[in-house]
Amino acid sequence: MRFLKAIRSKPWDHQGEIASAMAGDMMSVSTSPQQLALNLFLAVASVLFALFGVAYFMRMEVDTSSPFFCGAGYWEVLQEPDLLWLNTGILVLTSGVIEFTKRESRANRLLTTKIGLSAGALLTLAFLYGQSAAWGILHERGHLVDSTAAASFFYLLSGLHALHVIGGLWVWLSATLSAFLDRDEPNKVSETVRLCAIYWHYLLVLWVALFALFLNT
Amino acid sequence: MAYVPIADRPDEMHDPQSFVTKYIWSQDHKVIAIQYGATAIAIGVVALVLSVLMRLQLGFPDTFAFIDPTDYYQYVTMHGMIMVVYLLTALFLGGFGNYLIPLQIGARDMVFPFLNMLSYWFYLLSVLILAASFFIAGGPTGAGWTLYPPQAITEGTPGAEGGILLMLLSLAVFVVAFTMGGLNYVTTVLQARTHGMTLMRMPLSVWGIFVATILGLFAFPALFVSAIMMAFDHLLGTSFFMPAMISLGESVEHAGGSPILFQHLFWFFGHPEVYIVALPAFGLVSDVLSTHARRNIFGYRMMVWAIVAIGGLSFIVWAHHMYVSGMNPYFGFFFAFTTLIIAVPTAIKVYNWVLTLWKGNIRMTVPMLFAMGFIFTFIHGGLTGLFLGNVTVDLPLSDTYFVVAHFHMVMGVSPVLVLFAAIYHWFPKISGKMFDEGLGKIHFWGTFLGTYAIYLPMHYIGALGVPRRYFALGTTDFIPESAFELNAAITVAAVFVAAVQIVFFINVFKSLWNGEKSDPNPWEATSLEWQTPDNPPRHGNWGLHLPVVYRWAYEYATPGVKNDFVPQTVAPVDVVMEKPGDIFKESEH
Repeated sequence: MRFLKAIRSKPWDHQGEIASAMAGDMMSVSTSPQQLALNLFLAVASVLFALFGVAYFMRMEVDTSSPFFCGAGYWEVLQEPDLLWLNTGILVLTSGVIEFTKRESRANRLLTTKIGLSAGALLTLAFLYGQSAAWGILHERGHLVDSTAAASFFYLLSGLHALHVIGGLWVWLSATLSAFLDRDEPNKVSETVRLCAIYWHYLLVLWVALFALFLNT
Repeated sequence: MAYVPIADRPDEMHDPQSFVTKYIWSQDHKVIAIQYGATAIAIGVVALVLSVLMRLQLGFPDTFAFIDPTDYYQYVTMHGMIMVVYLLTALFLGGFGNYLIPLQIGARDMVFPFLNMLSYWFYLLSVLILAASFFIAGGPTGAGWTLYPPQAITEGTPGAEGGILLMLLSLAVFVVAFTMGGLNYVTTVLQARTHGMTLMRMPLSVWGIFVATILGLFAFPALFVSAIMMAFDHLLGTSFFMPAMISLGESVEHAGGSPILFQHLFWFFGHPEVYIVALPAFGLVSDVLSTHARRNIFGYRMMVWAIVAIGGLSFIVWAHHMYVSGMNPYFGFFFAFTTLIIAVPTAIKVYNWVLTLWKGNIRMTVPMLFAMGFIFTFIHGGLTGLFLGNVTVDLPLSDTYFVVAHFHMVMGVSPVLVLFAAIYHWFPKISGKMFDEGLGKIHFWGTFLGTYAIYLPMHYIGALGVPRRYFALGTTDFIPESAFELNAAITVAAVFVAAVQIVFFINVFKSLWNGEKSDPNPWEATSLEWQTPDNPPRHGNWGLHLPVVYRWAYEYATPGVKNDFVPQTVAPVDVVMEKPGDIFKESEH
């Protein structure tokens, strides 16, 4: 809304409220640049996964009467391994631990922050290991990446989600390292942890949405 | 937290000392802008040469033995992709975006300089991957710049083995590069403006770049998605896009994929892409026109709103590229409607440019010539868009040279003219040297008249029904002899226009080598980049203190004021009036 209000002002009319040379300074920035960039990135990632979602549904509904359809390649439902439930649980736990770490680091409690940072990293690794194990199970059952469209999408989307997790883990590990080596100001670590928490919650919501999609199709 | 501390970071004051940190691994937005610009122009020259080769074949078939159909399709494909993505997008946003955003909003640099540097190196990587495809077995892909499956990855298509993979990889890397740059541009515009720089005091260049960047952030993922899925189809044998079919007498391994799905994804990126190129061009040309006409831009607010409106609408018009794909006719109706709606804000912009010139004190400088040339080519290209936006008119014109002429006028020639206008306009600031006016005028007239000689006849042969994408036309009943002669004439014009670009490069290098030292503000412009303490601006841009902005960037020819322009940084009490004793009151335009 503030944006809409801003673009209604008349810059040539200097008698108005923006006449003050310091007009720009009056408006405050409620989010840090890092926070804004993260928000934008999450929006971009959401568009990315939403487009994959659209593609998923369109591919599911390939018209069997169309000339492209030759009796093969129709949608076969994929039986997802039960291990994914455990992985989802681990991701929920990770989110919780990271939220805990955020609070501890904000309160400047160094020991618990370090414990939280380590636990968060280990749980994230456990999630990634679990996902790769799920891939292994599918592989053993004969569902290869090119077997069916549902399997292709499963590998593609869970893989892309894992890549996003790995990207976040990189930042998380650098914050962990800083905390243990006392390299950065505690404030900086706390800010990184705060942003990581947003990112992990996002990854959790994203995974739950993807998992629900896989289970129901 | 206010904007200014983010704009004014003291660490930016320390000049990088070594050659490597200053010019190679530089985090200075101006150096990165020049790196982006030089890389984009270098790969753009490749695209230009490819277009000449293509035209030689079309104008004089059976003459050039070294061009076979495979080569021809590779030229077409690489020319299109390089021009749209690696030249225009990169030069407008990576080049001018990087250079102008911090300077025009009064910041010392981008908010995330390291990310900015990374963005350039990823972009360079994507260009190198693309260029590498010329040197692999089978050569680059010849699938057409739209890369439609199943053809793009099916045996028999040029570059279907390695070329297409390098293209997809290059595009994916480009998207990553763009996302890093884009997050930076948006954050910088929103959070790093100097004292007094409200959103509505920003020059339209920044507005165009800002909105185009947001479009890019949300449109490029679609390209990323389609590139990844096609790479999966090709490498891993999945069937996202690949249907079951018989190719060269054998059944392919794929089944059930949807080629139309790819088209939707591609154009969901592809159409906003048109505006990712056009909106920065709109912004830059507005500033050039206003400065050299000595008039405030007509309808500033409307110009901003039009940029925002076009940006929004550009996401709901994509399927007008797919009228002949066999989609539901009601879809076509919807997309024709939205397509024609987008003409409204676009027309507002054109009227406003013309009205800015009206009664202006026009200075026929080289940048102004290019900017005015843009108005002509953009109107012509825009009007043929009305034909193609209507389903029933599009059907007979689809896949003819009419389409080629249309999109070259509207998003080839027009943005390129703006690029030249902008390069000439900001050259004195970027280099500190003045270019040769005479050579610049030769460059303009050769380019402007030459492109008309190319594209006006092309509309005609398109209306005759001459199909695009053909290596040679052969003999048919419906193509008269005159069309062949016109094709030859078009090729002559194309070779001429390509040759005229040499004048531009001579001008740039000659001016850099021993050009006259430029005045810090040679065009008597009002915006911040012309008010820097050093010319060209040094690292950190503003010396000790950030500039303070008192007004918008279009205070030209204000009644009662002695000079015909008032820079954004001059306080009201310091404005020199015609009559001593008068007090400057901001104008009511």
